[in-house]
Amino acid sequence: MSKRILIVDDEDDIREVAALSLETVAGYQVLSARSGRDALGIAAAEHPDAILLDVMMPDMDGPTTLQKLQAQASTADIPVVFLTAKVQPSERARFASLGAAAVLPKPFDPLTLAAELAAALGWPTP
Amino acid sequence: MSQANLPEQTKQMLAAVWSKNRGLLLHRLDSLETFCRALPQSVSDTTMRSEGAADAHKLAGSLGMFGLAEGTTLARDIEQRLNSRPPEELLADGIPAKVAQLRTMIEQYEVMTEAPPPQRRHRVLIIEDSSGLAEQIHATATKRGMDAAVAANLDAARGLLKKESFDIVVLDLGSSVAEDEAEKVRDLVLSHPPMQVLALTSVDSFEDRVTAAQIGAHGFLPKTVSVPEIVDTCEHLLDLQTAEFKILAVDDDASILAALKGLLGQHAIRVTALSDPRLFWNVLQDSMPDLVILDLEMPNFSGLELCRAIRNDAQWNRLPILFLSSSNDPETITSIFSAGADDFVAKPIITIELTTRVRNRLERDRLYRTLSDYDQLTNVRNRRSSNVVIANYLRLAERHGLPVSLVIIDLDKFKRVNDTYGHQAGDDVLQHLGGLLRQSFRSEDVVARWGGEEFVVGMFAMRRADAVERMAEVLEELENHEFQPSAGTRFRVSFSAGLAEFPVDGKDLHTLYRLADEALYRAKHAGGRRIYSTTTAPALPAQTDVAIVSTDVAFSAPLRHLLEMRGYSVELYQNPQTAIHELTGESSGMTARIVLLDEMPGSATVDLATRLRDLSIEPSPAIFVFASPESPAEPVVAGLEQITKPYKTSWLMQRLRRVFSH
Repeated sequence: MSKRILIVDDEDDIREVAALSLETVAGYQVLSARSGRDALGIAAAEHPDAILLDVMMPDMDGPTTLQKLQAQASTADIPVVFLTAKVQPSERARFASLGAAAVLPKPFDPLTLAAELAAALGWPTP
Repeated sequence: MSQANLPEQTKQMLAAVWSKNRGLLLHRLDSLETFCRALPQSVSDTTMRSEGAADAHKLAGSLGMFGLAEGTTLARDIEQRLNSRPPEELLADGIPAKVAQLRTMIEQYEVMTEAPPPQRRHRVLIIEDSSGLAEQIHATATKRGMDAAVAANLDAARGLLKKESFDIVVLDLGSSVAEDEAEKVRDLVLSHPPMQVLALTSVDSFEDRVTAAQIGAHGFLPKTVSVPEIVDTCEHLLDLQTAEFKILAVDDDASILAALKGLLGQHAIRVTALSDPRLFWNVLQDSMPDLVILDLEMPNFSGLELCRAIRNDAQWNRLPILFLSSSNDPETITSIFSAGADDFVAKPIITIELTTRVRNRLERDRLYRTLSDYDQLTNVRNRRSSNVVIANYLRLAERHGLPVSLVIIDLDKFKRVNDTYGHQAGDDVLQHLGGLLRQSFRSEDVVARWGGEEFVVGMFAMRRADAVERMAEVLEELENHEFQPSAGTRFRVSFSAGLAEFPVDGKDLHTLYRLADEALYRAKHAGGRRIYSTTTAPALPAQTDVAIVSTDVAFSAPLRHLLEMRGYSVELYQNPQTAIHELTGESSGMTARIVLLDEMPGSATVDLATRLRDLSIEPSPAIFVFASPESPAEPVVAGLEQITKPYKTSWLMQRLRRVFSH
């Protein structure tokens, strides 16, 4: 059974490229949500193997979404990886303290995103 | 899908996502451009600054993903300055230049996909003792882009084969091969693989067919057929040899699927593996296989049920189906064939048996399909088969939210070509256009001849403006080609085209076709040699898209044609005085969206440009001034955009499109 990833980003192009990259390069199955709110519902219903979460989103940002995911029993155990255009060490530490499994930089390279995600989560290289 | 092709395929899909989202990315520049327009006050406007910074941040996060790393660097730089610089320093940071640079970058960028490797010319060896026939085959093969060589007999052929290799041999059995030589020929062929062999005979007799089979010929033709037919058959045989096939394999056993992938992958067959039969139809539509392999026993749906469903479907009922089953009792086999299967392989799979059966079936099917799906004369799809493919593309595009552009092309005054130069010349024109269209479009586009002098192109994931530009390039290339009829003087031809875009213009082929046809009609009516889209506005008496002011006809005439070809209405002024009168509304009042000013003697250019720039009409025209490369670097007229001659067509068109999209 291939891994299922939920990608959460308010930007259409980023969601599309991430999905394209994870599906074609690694053969993962991709679910997508355009807001933190949508992500909470989808994650609860589908229970993906990991969530790739944008930090800057209108309404509910990445860190808030992460906290709500952790508060929901059905989604608390899903590893969350942040996607951010700001990867300063201080930010990294803040995300780690929130309970993020890893932080990946934006823009990502579509050809290596899947491998970076797998490495960050300790999965076998796709 | 082979591992080596993966990045390339991803890149191609990335290119589609890029062209779909380019508009969105450009849209993100709006807040930055608003900020620039409101300078210098905007440096102290916190809302404008933070909105601009937020959009720059998003651009920084996106552009690099498409390979535009310098775009990310630039956007990040703009973001940082907007976020942290004190107002007076920000003013000196040259933000407008950076934003303009970013816009140009996004507009001009294309995701680089590797150009397909240049097609090697096929080499054909003609073994034929009649020099007349050999000459004719040689000439036709050369005309079709093959390299040909002639040998009068087997010995000569052997000599040539020692020195160089060939892809196909055309061998006259009657004259070049003595009765006892069949063995020798066979050895010759076998010692030079992979080489296709087409046998020719003087009489279509059963004995000759047996001889042909003995020497290992792949094709067989009586010499009474025409020379073009002989060369056609060579092309078909070569196509089969190089074809890559796609297979969909359905089996709930993952180890079987993995084995099939490995086995068939070695034979240039791409296998899409599916373990859940419930997803069958979706995967079928997406993967468009040439053959399906079904497991007999599976949960949810049995192979027999899938097989019957395929046979009952109008689009897919001709698809070859091969069954895998571990039981091979007569009852099972009967049920498989009565459900409509073409072939059956028992598990455990014997490698050579499976690959041979699959390969045979695929080659035979491709041959029949090529004969029935493609137009014989032009080698592009025929109407029926293109309808099926385009309809399928529309479904795919709908699911993935992508556009499709549909274009109908009709040669201008084609009847006159036939009447003046004869039907052979007419056929040459059709063949040339067919070849040009085949070369100009990507493999995911559909090119078809719908009858007579009418062709259709379906462009996947392609928006209207880009599609018009690409058609314009084809039209230019066609117009530049000189045809040389066997009798009479050389001539050139052109076409008109109409374009409709899915889904904005319509959601089904019939509607799109009707709208594209209407646009085509208008293009013809406007004089032909141009591409009109459904959105090309009809020319109004006192309004024009572009006004050209130039005293130099050698400059203005081609420019006018380039513009009209793309559907713009154009007004040409050769006298600057008349242009001043009309464009400034002094008399008659002609309004233009764009004015292109050529360098003119004396102060005419500056006078006209200044008058136009200071006009108070709304919307004021966008003015571009052409300058020769020798003229000074500072603009001829302050505040107007200058274009250096000779201009690049694609670049100029992009500038103009920007004016119209605002």
